[in-house]
Amino acid sequence: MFRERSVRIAAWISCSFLALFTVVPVLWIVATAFKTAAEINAWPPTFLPSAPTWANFDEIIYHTEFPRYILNTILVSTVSTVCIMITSSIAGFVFAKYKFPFRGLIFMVLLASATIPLEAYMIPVYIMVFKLKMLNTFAALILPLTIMTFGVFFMRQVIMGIPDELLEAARIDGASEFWIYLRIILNLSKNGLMAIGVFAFTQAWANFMWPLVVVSTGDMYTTELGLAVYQRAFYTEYGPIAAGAVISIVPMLIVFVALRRHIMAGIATSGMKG
Amino acid sequence: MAGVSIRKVVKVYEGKFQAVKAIDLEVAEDEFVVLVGPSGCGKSTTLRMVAGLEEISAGEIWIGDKLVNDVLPRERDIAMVFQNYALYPHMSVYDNMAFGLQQRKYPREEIQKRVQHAAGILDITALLDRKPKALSGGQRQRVAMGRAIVRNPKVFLFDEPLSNLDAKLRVQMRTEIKKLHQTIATTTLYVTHDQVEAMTLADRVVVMNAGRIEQVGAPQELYHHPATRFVAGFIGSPAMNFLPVDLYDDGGLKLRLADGIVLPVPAARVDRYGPYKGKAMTLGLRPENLTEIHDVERPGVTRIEAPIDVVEPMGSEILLHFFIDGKPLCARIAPDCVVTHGERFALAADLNQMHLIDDESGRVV
Repeated sequence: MFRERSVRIAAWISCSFLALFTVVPVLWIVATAFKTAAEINAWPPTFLPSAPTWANFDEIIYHTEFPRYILNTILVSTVSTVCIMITSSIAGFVFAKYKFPFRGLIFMVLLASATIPLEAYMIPVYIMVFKLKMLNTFAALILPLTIMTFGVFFMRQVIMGIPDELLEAARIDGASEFWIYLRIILNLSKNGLMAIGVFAFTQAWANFMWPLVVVSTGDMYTTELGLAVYQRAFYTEYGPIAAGAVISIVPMLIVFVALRRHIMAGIATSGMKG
Repeated sequence: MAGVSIRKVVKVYEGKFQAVKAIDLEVAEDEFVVLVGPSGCGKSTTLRMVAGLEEISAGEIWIGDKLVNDVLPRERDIAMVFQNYALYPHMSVYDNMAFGLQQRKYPREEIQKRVQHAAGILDITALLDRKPKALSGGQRQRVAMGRAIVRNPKVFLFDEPLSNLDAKLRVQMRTEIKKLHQTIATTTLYVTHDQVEAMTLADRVVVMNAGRIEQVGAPQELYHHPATRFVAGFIGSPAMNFLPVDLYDDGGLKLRLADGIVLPVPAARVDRYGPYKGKAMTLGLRPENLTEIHDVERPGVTRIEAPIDVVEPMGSEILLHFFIDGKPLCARIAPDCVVTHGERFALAADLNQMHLIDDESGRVV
């Protein structure tokens, strides 16, 4: 009894500490977005703004191209998310429910590809995009983000949990394979699919390196690139950057809050729950 | 309606394991045939090959006058009821039942009529708006059967449909399936590992073992005239007792058990068993042929005595478990007998009902 209680207290303390460790920088950014330039640079630093101001938001929304960057990012992230949800669920369905030669080997190769960092193959992909004359286009920003190896793996795990008998019953009842995917697989794996959607959206939204490589004109910037622009060589405008960061967090926060239930349920059904 | 013909059908998995070994089976139109056998005997594989869910490695399967080896499941005009019901959890009971008809583009009115009719037969009309998760096991199984009925298929396939139900519900659903077949006579192939289910439901039972058909016959025929030791041991509950015996002739044909007990062969069996003198044989005797001693002794009934190991009062009878020759045996006695654990109890062995098995071939003589 005593041991159980002490373990629980230790777990509570460590979890609280980790949560605090994660949340404090976010709170700091939010607080900074409402501070004046003088207060931001003041010593000793303050945590809460002494005279909260919307000036930084005003600056970044009305006096920069930042709204355009947000729209670009929304477009790229949404299209990428939809593509990843489609490719992950179809590939996951195929790997989970169909037997074909070298299935295990192909899946292993696919998984192995997830271990190669973007930086390792960025140059050849850049050359491909360049040769296809796609630099500074949405296609260049989106194409590498249409398939997610982790998504395929995750959806395979989720779909493997759907009993084969349901698919067999549908086949006997006269359903085609595409219909089975559309009406049975998607319906029964929607929680997992939502979880992958959130991961995909977050990945696309926070992507910095790839847009930096394929985009050079301001009208195609994403929020991450836009925020980097404000880090000038000799003077960093912390206020507008913090305001921009706060604005850019909002869509992700909305997506997460809206789909939180599905994400938890999806992870639980994937067999990946800790 | 149509019969099913399985001709020299083989199923080999991954080029090695032979799950079904060249079986032949003819199922007549409207007949109820049960495939029964232990786990891994190939009964479900056979059913799935008929359904088109497993490819056939060799042989032919005919449904009616159509060879269906390469026909897709949806084009075979069959309906299947699965062990775990296989109801679509996101659809209502109505949609589950209507699904097959919708896929075949039936008019809405016709679908509604058929679903209502099937729901009426199965007494699930009140459940049509519910989702499967709001149903009990028995109700789910009824919906699964309803889904099969509405299609009015040529053949019904049942793959251990009662295995997930508790004992009481299983008995109830068993009766309902039988009643259903009497109402809607359709060719039916039913797979189970439960021999009681097989005996009570089937017009004919197919006993399978290790990928082969051991015997096909009416339930009573299998029970009273098993062809092999496997069938003799598999059909009947409690199972048939087996004892190794020597068959010898010292002026009369006799069976000698290892511990010296001698049992005379009934006169009616002498001619049949005579040629097997001196061969290694096994005596098979059902528990109901080992009973308490009655006042009047009949010819062919021999008295044996053994210390009782376990007494199982069943209400309508008492089962006694004991050992002879180190082999476990079971006797079935009247419920009013008084027996206690450890007591030496005299039993009447009715050898008129005995089976003699040739150990070499495994066949009942």
